[in-house]
Amino acid sequence: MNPHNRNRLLALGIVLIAAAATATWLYLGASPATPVARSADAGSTDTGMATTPQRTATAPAAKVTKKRAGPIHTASAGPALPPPDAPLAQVYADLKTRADAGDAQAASRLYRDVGRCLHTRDVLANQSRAASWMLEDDTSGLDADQLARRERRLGTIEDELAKARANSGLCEGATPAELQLAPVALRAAQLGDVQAADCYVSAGLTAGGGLLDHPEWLQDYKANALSLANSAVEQGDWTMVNQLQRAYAQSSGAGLLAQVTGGDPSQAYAYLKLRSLGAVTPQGNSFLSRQLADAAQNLPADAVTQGDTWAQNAYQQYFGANPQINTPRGFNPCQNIGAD
Amino acid sequence: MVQKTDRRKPGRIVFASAALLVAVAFCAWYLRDDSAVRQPMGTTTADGGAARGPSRDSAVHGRGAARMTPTAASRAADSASLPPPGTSLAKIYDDLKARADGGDKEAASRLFTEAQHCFSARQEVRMLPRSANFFLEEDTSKLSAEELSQREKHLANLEQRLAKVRAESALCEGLSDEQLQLAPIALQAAQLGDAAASDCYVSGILLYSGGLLDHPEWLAQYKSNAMTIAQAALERGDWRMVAALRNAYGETLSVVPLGQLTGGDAVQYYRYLKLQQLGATDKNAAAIGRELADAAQSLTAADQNAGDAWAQEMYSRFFGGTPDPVDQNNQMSACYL
Repeated sequence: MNPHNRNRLLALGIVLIAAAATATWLYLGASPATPVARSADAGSTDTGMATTPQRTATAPAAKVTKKRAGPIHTASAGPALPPPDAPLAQVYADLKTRADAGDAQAASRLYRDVGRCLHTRDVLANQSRAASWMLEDDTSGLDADQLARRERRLGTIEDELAKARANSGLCEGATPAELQLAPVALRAAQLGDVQAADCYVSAGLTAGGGLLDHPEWLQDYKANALSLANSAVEQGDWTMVNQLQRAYAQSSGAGLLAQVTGGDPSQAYAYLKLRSLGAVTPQGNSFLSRQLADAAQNLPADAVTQGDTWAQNAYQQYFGANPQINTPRGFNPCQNIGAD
Repeated sequence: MVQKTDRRKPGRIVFASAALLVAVAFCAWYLRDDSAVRQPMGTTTADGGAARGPSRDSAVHGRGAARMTPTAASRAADSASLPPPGTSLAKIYDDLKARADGGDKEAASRLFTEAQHCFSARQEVRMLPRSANFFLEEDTSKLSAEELSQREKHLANLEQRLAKVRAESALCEGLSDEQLQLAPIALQAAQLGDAAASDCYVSGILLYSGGLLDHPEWLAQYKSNAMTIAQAALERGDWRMVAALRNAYGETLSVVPLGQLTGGDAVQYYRYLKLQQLGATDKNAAAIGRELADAAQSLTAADQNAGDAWAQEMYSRFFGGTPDPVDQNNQMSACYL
């Protein structure tokens, strides 16, 4: 091969690789990966399914920002955000306008400020009452360990109350409408905030009030939740892996997401397999292995194979920077927002 | 005026008299059956007196427009015997539903109780094996003898619960997810006067238990009916409802739809807390008294006096002047899911 032909082939190869990469990026961008086809297709012999993500949900109302693996705070450039100690009532309108226009930083800030005020309100309403009841408890029958635990608990409540009282000034004057979490969580999630997506998908409609007056939020949820969930998985989010697994398994407490996904043992198996790959401890791995064995018993061999293949691919593709499950047991994504 | 009266025909006077009698009879019936609806509750009045209750319209909104008090037809329907206990719910579901739709309170209550039980059993059958497996895989090498003993007891308990739930869920086989959507079933039973269904429905937690995404109209139904059902429960002397309303007005359960429906209201919060204090057991009295003192700090003297009078009236009239025999702070216990 002469040098001229070699150079032409090299150039052609570069163009083809670039085209393939662009096509792959566009394809993945438009269609978040899901593990396998719906159960109705589980018996299909198309084993390529595991590496060819399929849509299982309607398109999101707004396109999810792709591949923002780093913290949201470093994402889009825009005007400087208000200082951290600015009261929500003073900055809400500006942040909302910027978020509506696509400013990811403003959307995330608004989500966190609203979440912080909701948490502050809940702590002030509940924790002083909890302390009041604890102080009235009869402690005469408690041993030293129990007394020590009680003291630690009371100390924790006092700390939470002090923090909430300090934050309460940031939340004064905020209207009930400004404390509705669902719309700000959705917007931040659509602009790539994975933590907002975790909250929105899990309990975002119910955590902050307003649903009774906004039944249209249900339609928004149906249109967006699954796409946001799939996108979060692609960004290596173990919390969302857990949510999707529980939703497809129709587990207790799986919430509204389970109503969107419906039950699907094949999908539940695939996400369970993915979780097993990220297990941190031998006990956790052993536990998940047992769960997998139980789940596999009720599936066709093809579905198990597809689920295993998809999980392995997803683990390598999306969780390279985050290989171990980092979601605490019982984690509530809508609790204590903005505390970090 | 006199001339006008003189020109009336005797027939018209008879007609007017008959109409008056009907109106009086209606008022008597109305006062007997529905006095509850006008009792203090809901938005605080500016005069410091008893708060207004929900409008009468709210009692007849929503699916079926069921009255809170059984009609003669429903009382007749109640007399029909229910299927024997232990019958598969799938076999009797349609019959119970039809009877409930016809106003049969017993059928509506049975349907709610069994559907709630089956929903819960279905959840437990899915959850308990996972819990047991987690314990079985736990590293026990560093546990003390006492911890090992506790662990064994816990595992045995899990095993017993699982066996029990599996046995009970046999009666729940063959039911679709739609049949176990609890919100409409609870609403119907609550409208017909079922206490547990009322507590459960009013909390609003059932809205989240399945089906809401496909039934956004449930939200409007809830808004229309919840406070009417709550009022009826108060008039039956339901301490759980007192606790639920106290929590809702005090914003201690803001996630639950009832809290969203009422919003925070310091005056109402004080009133329900005062009512709780009147019915408190020795165990609860001190803690409630402390909360009441805190709540009073944000009120005017007039609001406090009016709240005290309202609570005393409610306690005497609807709660028989006797304390709450159970833990009144555990309102959600009526609504296991």
